[in-house]
Amino acid sequence: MKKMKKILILICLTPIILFAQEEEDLFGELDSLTIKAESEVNATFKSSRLMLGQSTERVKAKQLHMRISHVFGKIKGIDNFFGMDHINNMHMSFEYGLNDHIQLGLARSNKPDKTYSGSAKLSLYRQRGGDTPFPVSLSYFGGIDYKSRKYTPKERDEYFNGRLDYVNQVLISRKFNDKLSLLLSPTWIHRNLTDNSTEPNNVYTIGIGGRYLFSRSMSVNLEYFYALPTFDSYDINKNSFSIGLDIETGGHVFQLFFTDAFALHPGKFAINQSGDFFKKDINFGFSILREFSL
Amino acid sequence: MKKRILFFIAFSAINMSIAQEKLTTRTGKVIFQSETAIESFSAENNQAASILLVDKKVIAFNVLLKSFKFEKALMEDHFNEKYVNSDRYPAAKFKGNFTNEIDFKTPKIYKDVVVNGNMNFHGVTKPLTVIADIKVNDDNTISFLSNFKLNLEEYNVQIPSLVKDKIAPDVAVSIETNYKKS
Repeated sequence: MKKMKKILILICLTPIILFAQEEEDLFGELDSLTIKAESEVNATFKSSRLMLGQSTERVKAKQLHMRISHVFGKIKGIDNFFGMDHINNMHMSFEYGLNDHIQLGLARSNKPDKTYSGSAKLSLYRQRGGDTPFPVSLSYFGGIDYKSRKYTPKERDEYFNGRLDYVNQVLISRKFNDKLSLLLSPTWIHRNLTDNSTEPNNVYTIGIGGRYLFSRSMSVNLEYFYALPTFDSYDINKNSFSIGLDIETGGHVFQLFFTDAFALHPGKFAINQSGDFFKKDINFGFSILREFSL
Repeated sequence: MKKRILFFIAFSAINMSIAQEKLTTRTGKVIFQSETAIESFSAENNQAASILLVDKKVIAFNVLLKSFKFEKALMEDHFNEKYVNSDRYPAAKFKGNFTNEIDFKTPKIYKDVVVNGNMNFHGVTKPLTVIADIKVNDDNTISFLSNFKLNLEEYNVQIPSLVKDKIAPDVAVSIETNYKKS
């Protein structure tokens, strides 16, 4: 009788076991039928810039990013309304994605030197999981800055090549997990003519930075550009340090930051600064990014 | 008695494994749309995989979230990262049954077919009933068309208060698949 019971239970269970098996088979079959999605890791950073510097995020095909950034004056206290009485710099940029791997940009910064910049960013490798994993994203950023301000004497003013600076950057990033991403950006800046003859034409800096996502829409970012000690021609700070927030609101990204830099183009902020963050030379700045689909 | 039972089990197993008519596609179209007073957007996926078991009246879907294409690339990134966690939950899966008697040999349109099933999306499995039209076409293919609403909160997709006005709590999903014999 006991045996009978066991067998009966088995009979009752059979359809369930078979059914579960069948469902698994069906979804297994569906899985093999499904065209695989791209295994590229996305959203390493919220936008194409970490704060001042470029990130490995790209402007994708036929997208236009318009970005307006401001840096205010040095924060002293309530008498200058924490620096906001005074706009130190206004930077505007347009970046367009020719395809998913080439991005072209035009920018203009009023300080210093009323600089116009043309740039290109090439996305060479993307971090990916899946069957063909790759540990990091790798991009190249190159730019030419044209300093359009008036110079004296007249010879200096008319010397076109003396107005050009060149920027070369390798950007390497890795998204470690949902929240933490880090970026390393070795940078070489060549200036055809420096303001002071003791300053070097070539400056090498290393950018180190990252973001930590603390809510789904917000991250805290850090960025530090360290100038390699290949020169010692001025006492003012050669490095730049920034800390800030990314706030993403669907199509817009707001970035708020505190920085010791006042320049917002890499030809300048990555080499010499007005102040030292750790000696309370801190400016507040922000940038607003809007993406358009063309 | 024992023999009879064994026979019965063996018989039912055979019954299960009898070959059935199976129709498949890997290029099904799934569109979802979010509409609010402030902003409307949609995303399209043309790589939905689906199997239709004709005799058993079973239909199943597998839709990879990363295959949804948005007009704005940034939105696509944020969709995957922030809203649906597609690294952790790569696919939306649905399996359902219908009861209508459908003659898959003669061209005809069957309207308002009720499909009862389960939807697995963003780590949540919930029963879902959708109304669909099933078309048996002249060339022996079959089309499946359905529109339904999906409540994001029910599937644990949270919308931050910052963008509450821009994303609808219920997104409209439309599905269009064309099956061929595999």
